[in-house]
Amino acid sequence: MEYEQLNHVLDQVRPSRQQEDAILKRLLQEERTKQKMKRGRNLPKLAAAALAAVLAVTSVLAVVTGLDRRLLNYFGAEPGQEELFSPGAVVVDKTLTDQGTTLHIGQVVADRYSALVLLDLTAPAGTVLDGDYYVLGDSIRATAPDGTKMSGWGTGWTLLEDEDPGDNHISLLMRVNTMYEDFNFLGAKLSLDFEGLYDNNLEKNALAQGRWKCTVTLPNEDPGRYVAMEEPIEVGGNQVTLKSLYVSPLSLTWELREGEDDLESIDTSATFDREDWPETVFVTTKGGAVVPVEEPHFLLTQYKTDLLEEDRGCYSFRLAEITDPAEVTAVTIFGQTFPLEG
Amino acid sequence: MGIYTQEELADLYHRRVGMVYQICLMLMKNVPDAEDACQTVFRKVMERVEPFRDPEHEKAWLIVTAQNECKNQLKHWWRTARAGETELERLTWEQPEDGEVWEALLSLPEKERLALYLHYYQGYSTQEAAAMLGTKPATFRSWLFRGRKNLKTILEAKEYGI
Repeated sequence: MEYEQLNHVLDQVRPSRQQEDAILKRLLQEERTKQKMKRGRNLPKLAAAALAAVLAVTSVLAVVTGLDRRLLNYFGAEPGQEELFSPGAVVVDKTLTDQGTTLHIGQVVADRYSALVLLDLTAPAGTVLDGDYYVLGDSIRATAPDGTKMSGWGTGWTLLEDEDPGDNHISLLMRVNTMYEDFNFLGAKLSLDFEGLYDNNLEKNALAQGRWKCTVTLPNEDPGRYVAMEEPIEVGGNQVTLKSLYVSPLSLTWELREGEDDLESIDTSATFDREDWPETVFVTTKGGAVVPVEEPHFLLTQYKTDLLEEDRGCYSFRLAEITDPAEVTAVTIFGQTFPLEG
Repeated sequence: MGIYTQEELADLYHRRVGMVYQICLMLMKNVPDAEDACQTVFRKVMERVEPFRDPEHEKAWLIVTAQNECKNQLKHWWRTARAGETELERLTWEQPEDGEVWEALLSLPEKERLALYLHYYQGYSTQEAAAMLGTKPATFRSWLFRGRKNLKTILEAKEYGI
């Protein structure tokens, strides 16, 4: 055959203008969603000043659960609250060295949507790590016991208080969040593949080189309480559906679906760009105490595409105080209260 | 995390989407999966932390990434629940025999399909294409040879109604 004929055929196999536009639209929509998610990565590394005093008692292993005190301090755990984390905690204690930089992976605490990994990094002698923000180049994979793979994830980095902030050692807490409900961390194999230390999210100009890989199997037991719902909820003047609520010592998470309105019709400033989260989103406990949310872990809205039948939203926060999920009687979202059965 | 602004990304997209889509459709053999793979390839562009060195680097990177993405998707378990090859009926042809050539091309093994595309359509030399696909030039030439031969055989068989 003449190869001009083959080329003539291939010339006809191009996306139509309509297809081109549709793919680009989905791509940019995906990017908008990711940007919202990445915001979590830049969140303040806790109320640093308030925390500093607590963190002065650092690096001591907690007696009751074996959890590192720094992890408990991150959550502001009080005596007796350690055991709330135990179902989701695992000790890794693995030391990896590459190109003169040592990474110690200490412990991991997880719930359905999040895994927090405690890391200690020691760069080659002479390196000064005295900044206020560090990240490792990361590639995270996770597989659930039934083989489902984590398809969307985000990471957030917190620099923990250090006894000597001017030396070559730092302690980091990495939070990984899974974004899609078809995967959760319970019993999952979490593969951590870190490459290079940076002081910026663009991962430019590595401060220390190296590659450190480790796989951790997370506990099966759920430290939280997941409640499937099918309740109407008003968000930004739109009627949508509350699909689930999840409370754990690590997070408060809820999922939205379309209702009378789709999620796309919600003004994003009503869901994302707000500063009054603690006043409008909180849990109530059996004793009547109100625990508001603090920083968002992630705020993810996916709009329907050819591949996604309806809009989905998943929103996850850290609570201002560690809360026993069994003690929670109701969750209030945008002023609407949803009692939890049992 | 990416280095491109939305405008830069849109420019790059419009410049290359035709090629990426062709590769994805040739490998995935159905329109929805090709669109999906194509979207993923450009998402990976968005995630790049280094700019492309030059237009040739950009083009080669997209070809290899499209090929890898299609391979990944073809291995993914949920693809079985996706649209079938009947989706190809959405394609329209200037002449009926064009559709026959396309079907014949899709019936070739993946490596032969890609070899014909890169050499005859994109104009890469056997050395360049082999380097891009991470194989030896002699191996690439054998894919090309077999692809040509098999395509010819299939089309002749169609011509004689075999």
